[in-house]
Amino acid sequence: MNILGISAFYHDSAAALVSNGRIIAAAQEERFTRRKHDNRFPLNVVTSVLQEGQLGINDVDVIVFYEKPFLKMRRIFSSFLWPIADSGKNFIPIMETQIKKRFLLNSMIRKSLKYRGKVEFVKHHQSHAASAFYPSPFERAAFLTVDGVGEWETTTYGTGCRNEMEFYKRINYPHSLGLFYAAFTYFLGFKVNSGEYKVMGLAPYGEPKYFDMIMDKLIDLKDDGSFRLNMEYFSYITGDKMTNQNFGKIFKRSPRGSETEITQDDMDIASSIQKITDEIMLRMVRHVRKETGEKYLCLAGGVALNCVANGKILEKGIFNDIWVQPAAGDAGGALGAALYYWHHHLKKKRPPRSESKNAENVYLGPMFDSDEIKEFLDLSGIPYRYYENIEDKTAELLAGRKIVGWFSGRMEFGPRALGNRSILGDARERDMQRDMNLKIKYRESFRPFAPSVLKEKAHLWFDVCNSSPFMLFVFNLRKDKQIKNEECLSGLDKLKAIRSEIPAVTHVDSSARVQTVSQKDNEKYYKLIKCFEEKTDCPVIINTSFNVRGEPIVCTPEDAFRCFMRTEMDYLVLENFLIDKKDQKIQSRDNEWKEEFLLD
Amino acid sequence: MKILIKTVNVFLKIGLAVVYVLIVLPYRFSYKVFSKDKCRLTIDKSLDSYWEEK
Repeated sequence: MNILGISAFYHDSAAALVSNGRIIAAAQEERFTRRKHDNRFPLNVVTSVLQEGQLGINDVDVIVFYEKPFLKMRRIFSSFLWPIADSGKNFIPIMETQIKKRFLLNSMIRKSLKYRGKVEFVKHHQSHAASAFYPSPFERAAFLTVDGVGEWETTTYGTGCRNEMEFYKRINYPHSLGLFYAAFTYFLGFKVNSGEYKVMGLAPYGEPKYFDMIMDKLIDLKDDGSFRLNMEYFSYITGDKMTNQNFGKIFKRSPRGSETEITQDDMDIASSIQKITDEIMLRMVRHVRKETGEKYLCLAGGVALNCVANGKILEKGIFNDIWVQPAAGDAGGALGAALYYWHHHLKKKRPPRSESKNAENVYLGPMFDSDEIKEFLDLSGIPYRYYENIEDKTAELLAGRKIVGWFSGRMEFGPRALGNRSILGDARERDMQRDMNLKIKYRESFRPFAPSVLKEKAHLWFDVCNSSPFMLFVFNLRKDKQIKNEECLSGLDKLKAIRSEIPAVTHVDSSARVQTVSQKDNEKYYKLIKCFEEKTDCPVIINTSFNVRGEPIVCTPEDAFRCFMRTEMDYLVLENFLIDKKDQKIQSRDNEWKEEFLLD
Repeated sequence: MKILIKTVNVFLKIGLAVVYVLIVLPYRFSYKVFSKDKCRLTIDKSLDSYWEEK
């Protein structure tokens, strides 16, 4: 039986194909349309995943949408009835869009895809929970979903056992940890549903001096992690903005303008909201452990992408083990909807847990074989060299301080590049973070880079509590790898200090968002890091997503080559083909991307 | 076809405006004036937990 899961119309549209319970393919629409967080109907992804499954659209038995459109519309309508809502000026445009999209969703899906079969709907948080529990390695586990908002729910928890899932409790809109974090993202001048990870990256530069004030005025947090927001300070219910004037008053300032200088106060606010998020998540997780009695936890929803909070949860050892869906945001809802329908609705058994591999949950996008890449290179007249042992050659280049674009195998599903669409560099290099941020990624200098480390060597470099194959946990560097810094620096000056033997991936609080790489999960990438270790005695490299600021991660060899030529990357690897920047025709500096991709 | 879509859009807008005036505004007014219990919209320090049953 073939099930096509779809998520769309909020942010990060995606589709996933599940055949007889096996995940065949999944991807986000943004990778094909080259429009970051594209929320339009994922027509391109559907074509791609069906191609991967060698199916036609009418071979699909059921299409499952990741939320219930009428429930969502009811929530949006109801929110206009609340007196805490802003004026009704947005009522007509919002409801008009909702009615058109939601009422016509069923027929729109059929019409867009020329599909004659069944269309079903699964609730938003059921989709999230299913995306976390069913692919996890646990036979039974508790689950916790935390995001902005679905239909009504913003937070849910429950348990999964074999193919059954049971929801226990929930927190409803407008009280939402995802929207709470998003409100601060907005206030700090970053884009909502996109810049949250920047707030997370900015937090260690500041001090949480607003912690008590926020806890006192903006949120009422109970011991069991449940909370309510003080809606006198937020305007996201029906307004155009996330926060209102009252919010600005308590911070004695207005929201930071986009692209303006980041001040110490911005950093302190970021630090405070991150600390509160950690606290809420820890209390919730303790409560879920107590209420469910389960030993394992599965996490999903946009807040589960907060790897700092995830790292803290893991470190506290509240659960024996935690599994986080790599596409924890709304994109993963497409996968969850399909899996929920198969396992819960149709009551189909899950495959034996020993068969579950991390690779099957993340490397789900399209791939391009050597013949296709060679054809592209030849037709485009791009000079290249072929290396049988490309991993060794790339390791040699990295050890020589070169920056390499690495394109290999199937594209990752979810927001992280995990060694198949990555830009790689030498983590030991002092200036690499600054250079890669400013010359390659064209993004803010404060943003940290993540390390990929051989799984079996991770404990020698980081205080790892577990493997982290999806780069979803932050761990501290081991004390013996840190370099004691006597200089007393503050704010962005903290970037100047060298904190460890691998400074390019060590954040200012001596932490790192680690990806552990095993041979089983990604053989080629593992071999590359192994070769690098043989040459340098260091099993750690920089891994950042293959894109420039505002651009979705590259999908095709063409995207990769275009991105390579626009940046100061030294080499590009497309499977076993090596492309040297020096061999390419000299082009005038291509600044087109600045118009093509809106800054995120 | 285009004229039909435009006509439907205009009627939809008018319909929504009517709903707003006849339902949304009176409801909001009565809620503000008569409802002492703001139920789950406001903070309630007396509660031990905000978790709701599914």
